[in-house]
Amino acid sequence: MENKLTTKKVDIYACLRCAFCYDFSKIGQYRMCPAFAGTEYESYTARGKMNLARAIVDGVVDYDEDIAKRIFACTECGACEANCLKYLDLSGVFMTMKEDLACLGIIPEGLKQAVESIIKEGNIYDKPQSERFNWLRDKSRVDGKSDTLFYVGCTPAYLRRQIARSSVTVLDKFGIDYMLTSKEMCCGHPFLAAGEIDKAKEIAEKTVTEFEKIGIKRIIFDCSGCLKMFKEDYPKLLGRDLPFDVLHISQVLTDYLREKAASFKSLPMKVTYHDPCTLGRHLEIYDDPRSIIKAIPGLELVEMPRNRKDGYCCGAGCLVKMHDNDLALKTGIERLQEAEATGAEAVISACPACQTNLLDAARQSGIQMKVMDITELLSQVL
Amino acid sequence: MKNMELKEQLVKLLGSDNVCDEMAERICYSRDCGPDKAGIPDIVVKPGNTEEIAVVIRLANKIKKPVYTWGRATTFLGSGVPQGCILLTTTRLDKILKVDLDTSTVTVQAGVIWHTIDAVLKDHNRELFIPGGGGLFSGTVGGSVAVNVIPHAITEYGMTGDHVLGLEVVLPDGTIIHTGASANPDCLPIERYSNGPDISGLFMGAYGTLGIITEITYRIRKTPELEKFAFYAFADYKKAVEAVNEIQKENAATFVIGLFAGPKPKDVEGEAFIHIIVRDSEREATYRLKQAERLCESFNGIAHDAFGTKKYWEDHMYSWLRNVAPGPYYAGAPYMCPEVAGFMPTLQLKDSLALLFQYVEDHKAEFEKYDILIKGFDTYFTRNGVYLWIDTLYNEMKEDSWKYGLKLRGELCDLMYGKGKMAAGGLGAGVAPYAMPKLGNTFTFLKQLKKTMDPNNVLNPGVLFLGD
Repeated sequence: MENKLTTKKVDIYACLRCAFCYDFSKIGQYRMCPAFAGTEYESYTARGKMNLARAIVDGVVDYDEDIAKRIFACTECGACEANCLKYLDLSGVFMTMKEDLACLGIIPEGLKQAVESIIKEGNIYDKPQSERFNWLRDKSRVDGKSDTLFYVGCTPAYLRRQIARSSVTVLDKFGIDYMLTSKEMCCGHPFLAAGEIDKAKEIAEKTVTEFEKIGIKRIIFDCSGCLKMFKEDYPKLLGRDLPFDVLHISQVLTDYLREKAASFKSLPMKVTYHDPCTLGRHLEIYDDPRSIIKAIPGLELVEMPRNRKDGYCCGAGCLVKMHDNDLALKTGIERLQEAEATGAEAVISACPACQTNLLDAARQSGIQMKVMDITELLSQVL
Repeated sequence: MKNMELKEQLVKLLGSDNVCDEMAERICYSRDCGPDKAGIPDIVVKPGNTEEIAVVIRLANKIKKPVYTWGRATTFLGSGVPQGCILLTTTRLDKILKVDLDTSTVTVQAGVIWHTIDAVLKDHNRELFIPGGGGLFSGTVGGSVAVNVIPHAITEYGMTGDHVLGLEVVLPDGTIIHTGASANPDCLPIERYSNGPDISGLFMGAYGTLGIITEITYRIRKTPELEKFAFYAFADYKKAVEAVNEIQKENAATFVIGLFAGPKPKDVEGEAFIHIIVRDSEREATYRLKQAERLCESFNGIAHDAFGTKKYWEDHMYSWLRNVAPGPYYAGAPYMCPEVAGFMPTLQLKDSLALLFQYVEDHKAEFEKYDILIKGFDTYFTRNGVYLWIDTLYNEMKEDSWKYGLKLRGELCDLMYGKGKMAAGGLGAGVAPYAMPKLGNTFTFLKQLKKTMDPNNVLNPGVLFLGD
């Protein structure tokens, strides 16, 4: 099998091995790469993976389970690429390695199951598609008439249902018109995570065609992972721009708050905000969730040392949680410890995957902190 | 001892999480940032403390297997990882052990990243005596001290090793010692030259060949009140050198950086360029900078906006020296640097640059044929001289370019360590064979010392060319 990695030779050979992808040393004693922090082995860093890529293109080693373990341990938090001295397309190289591994059938079991589940049931949790809207009490907006779609996502629909409920509560309260679609299925990100590019392309095409057919002009997301898939990955997969706007719910709500006054109940509490890697570093949406927090009377926002573009991953990205929960939890606990050190009572985020892993991390570690989604926070004070 | 048996022994000593013999791991601990290929270790170990390092060294001596100590491997001069060695990474030695504001010291483990310490000290309005360290800012303290890296602000603050007060070191036989101010465990570290002969110096610049540095006690100080910046262009590089010589004599600057070849700074005309940084009290900084500016202007220097100087000092990104943001400067090019570097008196730089310019002219056709570029003949001016980097670039994707780059490095070493009368600063496996034999009796003595201290040649063998 001719590997696709040879197409990335320039970037691979350009890696200086400068180790800028290891630590946030200018902030303090903080690692940058969650896989490196969890294992303390160089092969898990971007530099390490580039070394492996070089060894593969040079014919020194071949793809195998050991290499796969390292490639799939990456949450694609993007910190390495954001800090790369040579501005290399690191995510492109690692994605290509995933593609090659997928062609060889060397992907972790947890990811294989997620892929099969999407093919069978249209979601990653192997639950019936028919249950996708079980969380929703009033189903009148399902297949309703609006050019704005609220895209729920698999995790809020099946696992973090409070996020889905809080999102519609807030949208309804603010009088924002939207519909939901019974045709909603997985955005396809797990296919990318597993290196299954063709499957990702297929689902992207199907989804965009369907939404275009029903006249959608704008999509609101409560999941930043799904948003990133639509906004960044779909155009690359399809080779064309999307025929609709895509926004995170925090952006929609911030726009609303800018134009209209809203009164909230007071909530005296110290909170910190965890930037999801997808919403933050990838899509550069840092201020909207923070504006919402600051608009709530009584709330005091304290920042963690690693914040905004230097935010640290929760550990769940790229479905690492599904095949290496130990590593995901290690990262989540480290992030929760950082949140706890701020003195905050709660950590707010804007991603259901972040919330899932941070909640699990709290249970595992015994750290007494509330973990809330921005929509849950807002629905509490309306 | 067979590899399986070695692994079992190491797992018993360090735990299974801290020992790995998978090829996918081992292959990542070979090459540094430079052009030299290196060996692949047989096994990678991550000891968590000094005692664990000592037991690994004792085992290595028993089975006569080399050990290579690895921080972040951000040198440019050849890692020298021996094929089949035990690769010992200091990644888990990452604790800042003590910050003592009364004695103005900090004690850290070897695996701590230099910049991390400054970030922690900032909360106390303090900084390391060499803030920001030297080399790539991703380097460890242990590595920086072991190679005695050329640091930022060397013009006023001196060398990395100057401010080491004491070390903890694992000797080649596994004995743990403390040196200098740290040698007496009942006393707080004060001055380096206490407790007898200065053994600390033996391990600084030794590239891990005589002992593994595991802890460092370093001086800290209050962050200066003010920083001021200036940037000058000179139509004649000799005038630039003369101007800086006067600045050094007047102690008018904390840090002076010179650019004498390579891409010119954006939107600035000239043949040579000088960046000046002054850090002091408000009164002194203002006075000293005025002195430096007057001296530059007396040698026909033209002042320009110093935004690049300030940015370079703040984030240590090299592109700012040429007034360019990091992205456009570095992006994607597969070029690597066969660096040659060293010290000389400031005024000698004029002749050395003339030699280099002539060399480049004489080899113009070959440079073009083999895709060789000039990154820069850049300098950090020291307290009483200059450290010159002769940075050429070869194309990593072309084997003949790589081979020529290595040959070029050899020729430049011969030229600069010979006629150029340059004293080697940066060493490493790639350059040591050219530099070390120049030391005559000292080289013979160092080889004898290595043999005596490390009869089994266990620690970083070959890295400083001290073998038989």
